[in-house]
Amino acid sequence: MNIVIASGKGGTGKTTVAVSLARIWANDPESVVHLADCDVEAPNARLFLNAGRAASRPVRLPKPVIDAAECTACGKCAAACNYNALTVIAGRVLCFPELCHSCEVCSYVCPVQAVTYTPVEIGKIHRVEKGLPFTLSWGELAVGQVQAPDIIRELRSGLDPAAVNILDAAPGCGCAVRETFAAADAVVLVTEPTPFGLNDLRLAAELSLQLRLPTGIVINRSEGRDEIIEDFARDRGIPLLGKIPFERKYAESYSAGAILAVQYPEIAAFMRDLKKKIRILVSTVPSGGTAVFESCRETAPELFSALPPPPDLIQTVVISGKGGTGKTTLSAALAALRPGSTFFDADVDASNLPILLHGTRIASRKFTAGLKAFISSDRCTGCGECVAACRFKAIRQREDGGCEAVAGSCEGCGLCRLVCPADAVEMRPADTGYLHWSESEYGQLAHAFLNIGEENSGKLVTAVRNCAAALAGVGTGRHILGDGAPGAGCPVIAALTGCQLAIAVTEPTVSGIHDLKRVIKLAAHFGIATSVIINKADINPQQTEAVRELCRTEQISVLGEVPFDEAVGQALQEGKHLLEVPPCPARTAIEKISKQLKFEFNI
Amino acid sequence: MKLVFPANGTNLTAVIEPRFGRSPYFVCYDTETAIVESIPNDQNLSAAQGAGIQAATTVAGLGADYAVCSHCGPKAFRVLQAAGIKVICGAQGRLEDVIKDFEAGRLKETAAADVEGHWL
Repeated sequence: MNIVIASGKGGTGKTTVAVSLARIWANDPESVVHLADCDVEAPNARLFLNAGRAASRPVRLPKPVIDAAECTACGKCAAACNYNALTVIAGRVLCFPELCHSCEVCSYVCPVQAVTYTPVEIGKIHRVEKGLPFTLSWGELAVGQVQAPDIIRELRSGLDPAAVNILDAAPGCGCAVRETFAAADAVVLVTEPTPFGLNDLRLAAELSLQLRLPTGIVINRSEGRDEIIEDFARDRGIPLLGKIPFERKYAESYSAGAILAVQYPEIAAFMRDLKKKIRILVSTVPSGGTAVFESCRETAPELFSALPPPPDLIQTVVISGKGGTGKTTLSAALAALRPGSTFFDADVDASNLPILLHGTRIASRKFTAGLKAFISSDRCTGCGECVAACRFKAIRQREDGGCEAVAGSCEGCGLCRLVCPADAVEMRPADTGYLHWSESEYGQLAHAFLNIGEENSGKLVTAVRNCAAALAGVGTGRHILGDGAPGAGCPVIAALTGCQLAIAVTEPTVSGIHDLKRVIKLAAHFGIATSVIINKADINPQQTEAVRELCRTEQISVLGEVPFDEAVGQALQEGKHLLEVPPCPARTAIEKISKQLKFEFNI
Repeated sequence: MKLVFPANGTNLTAVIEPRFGRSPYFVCYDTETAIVESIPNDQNLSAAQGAGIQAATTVAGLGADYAVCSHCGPKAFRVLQAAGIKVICGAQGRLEDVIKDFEAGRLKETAAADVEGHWL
């Protein structure tokens, strides 16, 4: 039995639930329990476990090798490769295996058979058999590699179908999560009872229901008033499996890397109950049905092309190494203190800033990126050549014999178009999402919606940032304030470009400091000044001091510290930003930070 | 000597773009003839991946002797090296100022990529 623990974005407590559930389930003498960490880009479940030595094995995929004696440097392979993994330079082909998707288009188009394939390591599968109450495995994608779904597929193939396998999915709803869901007998979605949580939950639930998987919801950080999630669960017919209360002590234990179910009997009891409910859940059939997102609609797209050229801009972006640090909460409060500025939300995977700023939609337009195969049913003869050729299993043959692309699986390599004898395949720009322009009482706002199951490469973020620049021409001010994307990858770089100042929001936790270091380095490389806000600063004084020390070493200012304040959770539950609630310690702190921002950076 | 810059515009008043592969334009300046050419990089702006590689191929196509940039990742560096193009990293500001620095011998060739690819 495979149980996937997932959430629309990071920082909801997904890994905490997965680890605690595995720990408690392992007490059942009837069950053999295995925990598989499928977040192959940041596998950190093992950090909570004092795991012994892991056995590791490589994951290898075929990558092209060019026979220099045969190659005529005609350039056909480089032109056909949709992943830019090949280029012809100074009369020879240069190959970049880390960009290759192993689609084998290059060998197909080579007129002199100069392309062969050799297995190349793209990552590893690690497995711990001893020393824990359950067995543990995790996948690790090598740095700079792109084939996360292949690592997950390999990780899945090692699962014992007779065991209880708990799969900790990557955050978000991208192709890696889709691949993890493919193995699921049930999906448990972890969420928070806030409008943000709901927004992220809807996306993950949509993916799960599209795949017709039995799905349940766990509310984390509950303060008793969870109508926002309960109403959604009822509307979509998704059972609510339980609630974990919001307690400061849980946050403190998490920051110290503890397993909550070991430390707190009430969490252990919760996990025993969750286990029972999951056993029932797996035998249910989801009610299904596809939801329509109001974000997926074009309205007045012509307005975007009529925007004036941007003025000389002063741009600031709020970033954080990982999700769940309070980046958006602080961004919204800083925005509310800067009326007349222009704002953008670069977190296109789960855009939450418009919720807190109460934006009203002005215009929306479609955004396309990359290619996807479309098969014309008029021309398709049903020969099945494409089905056999596709390495991504992205084409299936219908009962009537015709072939069709499987939504979400096509990686756009174009081999099907090349092999099709009937010329029935067309590669079309793929709809990736929507770009939105909204207006709030504080100023114009640019944001976006990334379609479910799409990967965020940063291009939509660039479109959002450019849109904000143009909207600044509509407003009166020169200032732009953006809520950046989480992480330190491409979307963040796209958000940082053109900015003069990056405000890094961090938490005093081990992973928080680790991630802060990465974003500081990132901003420094692009010559962007950085200043730090320490959120929930009083939750772990030692770690907070470590953050201050890091900032001293890096010669970066600390704009301020925000204390742990239950009023923040209440404000978010009500969909309000901090300037809309009665004075509280967090609000006072952010007002002080805002003044410091004005004083130190004139922003 | 031909210098090629990633830039946010098409002439010498443009500023060096910090991202090599995703630069809006490449501007080529010939130090002997003072001829300025530019080429848009639209195709790579929207590439899902490998923009640095294709951008470096574009730079090679312009007949560059030097690629003068802010930062250069390992993949673009490998392409430039294979094309026999020397790389100068750390340049910033207006192209006309950078050219003055180059001609005064104040810019040094870079021996290796100065940033990790893809920033992961």
